[in-house]
Amino acid sequence: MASVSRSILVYANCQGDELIKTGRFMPSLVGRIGFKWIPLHLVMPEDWGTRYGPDFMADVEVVWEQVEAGSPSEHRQELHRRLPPGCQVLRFPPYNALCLWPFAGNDPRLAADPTRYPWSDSVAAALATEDLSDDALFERYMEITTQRMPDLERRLRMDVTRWQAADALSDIRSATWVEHHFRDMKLFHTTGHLTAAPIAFMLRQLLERTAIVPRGELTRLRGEIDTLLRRHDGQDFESVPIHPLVAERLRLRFYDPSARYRWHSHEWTFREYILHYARWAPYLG
Amino acid sequence: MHERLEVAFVFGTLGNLSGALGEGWSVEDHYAWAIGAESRLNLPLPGDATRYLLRFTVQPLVNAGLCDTQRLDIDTVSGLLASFSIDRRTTIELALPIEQTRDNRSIELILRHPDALRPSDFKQTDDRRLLSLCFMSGTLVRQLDDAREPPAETAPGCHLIVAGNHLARQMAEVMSALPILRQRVACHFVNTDQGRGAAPPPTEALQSAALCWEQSGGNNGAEWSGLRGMLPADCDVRRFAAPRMKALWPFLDADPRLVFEAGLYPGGRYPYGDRIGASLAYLQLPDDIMQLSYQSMTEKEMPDLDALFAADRAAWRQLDATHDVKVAEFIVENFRRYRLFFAPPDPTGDLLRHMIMQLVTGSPIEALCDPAKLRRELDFLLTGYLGRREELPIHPHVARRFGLAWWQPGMRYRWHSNHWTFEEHALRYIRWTPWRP
Repeated sequence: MASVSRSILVYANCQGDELIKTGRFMPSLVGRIGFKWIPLHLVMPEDWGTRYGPDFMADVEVVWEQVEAGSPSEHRQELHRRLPPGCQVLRFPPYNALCLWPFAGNDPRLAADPTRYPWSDSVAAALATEDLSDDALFERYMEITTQRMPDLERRLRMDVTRWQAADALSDIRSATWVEHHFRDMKLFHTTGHLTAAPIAFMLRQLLERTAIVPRGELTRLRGEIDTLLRRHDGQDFESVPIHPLVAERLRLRFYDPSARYRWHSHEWTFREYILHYARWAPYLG
Repeated sequence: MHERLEVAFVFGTLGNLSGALGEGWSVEDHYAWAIGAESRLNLPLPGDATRYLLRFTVQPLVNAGLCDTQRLDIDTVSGLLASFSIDRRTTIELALPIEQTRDNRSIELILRHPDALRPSDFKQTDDRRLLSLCFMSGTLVRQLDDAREPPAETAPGCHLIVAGNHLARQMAEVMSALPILRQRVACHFVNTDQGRGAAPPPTEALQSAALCWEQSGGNNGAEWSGLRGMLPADCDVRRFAAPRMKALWPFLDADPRLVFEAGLYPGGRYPYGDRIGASLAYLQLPDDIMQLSYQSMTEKEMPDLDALFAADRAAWRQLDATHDVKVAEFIVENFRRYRLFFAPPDPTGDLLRHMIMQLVTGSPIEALCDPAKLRRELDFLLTGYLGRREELPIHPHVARRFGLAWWQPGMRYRWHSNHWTFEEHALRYIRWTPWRP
């Protein structure tokens, strides 16, 4: 790739990685505008003296800053101290949805093996040591989860409240868009990993407000985003299936009971995922 | 002595311990706060004579300057079992006394936590509960001192060397992931592609390898011949080749546009060329006309598919004659019923399973485990296998001509994280459209 002299810095969780991965493949921007990412959930104090030092910051003209609840972290304050003068800052909200996976509680197996199945399911965890056939295990899981299914409308309202709170801190708003679309199209692979649609939505909004992007190019840029993401699955490397009763209670119109969900080098149905998860089965990466 | 998970505990109303919580708890969906100065837990036990370890994952309520740690004493009716001082989320562990667990179906634990705080005392909240530790999950672990299962620290029963390129790597990944072979077979992949320079296996693994699965027909670098010479004389060497299927993709051809694009497409933008698509690439046509042109040209120039298939079959038979793994009959019998290739050189899970089972059958691996269980694990592991996530779309005419039962009109094919129909892929290929991995 050609070297570029102006960059957009994305300070965000892994959703920021999706923005820069898309931006780097947009033909109109290749060689003109570079993208950099500081993963706010991974940054370490020593990184500011090494990988995010003055050289890293020198060509940054715009920051796309993902907001967080609470007072600014030390890292966020450090970022702001280091921004070049005149740098444009655009704040945008994170996307997340807890209501789609109501059993995402605790799994004691994560203490020793935190990465195998990081999206926990506390009901499947509690069945981990039951000596049952596949059919019996899945039946038991469905029985327990059906009995214990919480009030999902309440959980959805809590999610919406969080989306609105994040919007209130941001220059770009997404709560209304998410609330309007989440029943018609799949937006989330996990509580915090996104399909391509919300990535495209956010990227369009950000580019439209980014000063170094010429206004006359916006139509072409929107077309390029569409070409790159129309049939793309987004952050699909770990896609946690949605419980059929959750789909029913939340009236998810996009839901397909026989859908297959990617898990690294596999695609599993909801049943296959639950069996693999409960058994803590190895998989191919 | 080694251990085995006996029960997984999950706190909270959605967990499985609600009935075990006595006084001193405030239970929420996914966890339970120990409140006040003391909490009681009537923990269920299997009721046998085994020794058990108990682990809890807990989060303390701390506030800098006010309370930096939460102390926790765990007692039974007979006295103190363990004490902890907890300043962050952690997993605590204690051994349950055998005299109190033997033949008992439960044990009463008294949790004493003298440092509880009210959140309302140090932040803006209405929460006036006296909270100390948030209990999230736990495990009851059986401690075993017999030899029914090999302990984790022992050396593997044998070393398996798998040498070759992508296919060998896939096989090595599968063998390394099978639980039944853990601690029994140590699998080492050797990339034999020239210049790939993967770290070779440890010398002692090579020198004592009981098995070697060697892929032929690649770009075998000189390094592999040196390493191969280190294998012991009695090493069971089995040879396999990567079968290719071309008849499903009759227009495959090199494309001059395929160049290395650093940082974007390590394997090439569209690594499988299509001679009809490439010939249309320089025409300025709208999408619908371009698609019609491609469709009409491919139908007009469709080669003799029976002849292509006969050539594939002859090539597979040739491989069979010189390798230990036989594929021809399996592919010919099954390719219509099951998808066996994602792309010309890339097998699906069904074909991969067929090849691995031939390498395993009659080998020293079968003596190290229950072969029937190994087969079941292999089936489970390869459920929904996506391979390299590069599926080359099949022309509808080809699919219909061969009567592919697994194919359907409008089918979408995965290309990394993209899902394209045959027609969408063709148009993108013709236009050399950028795509996002």
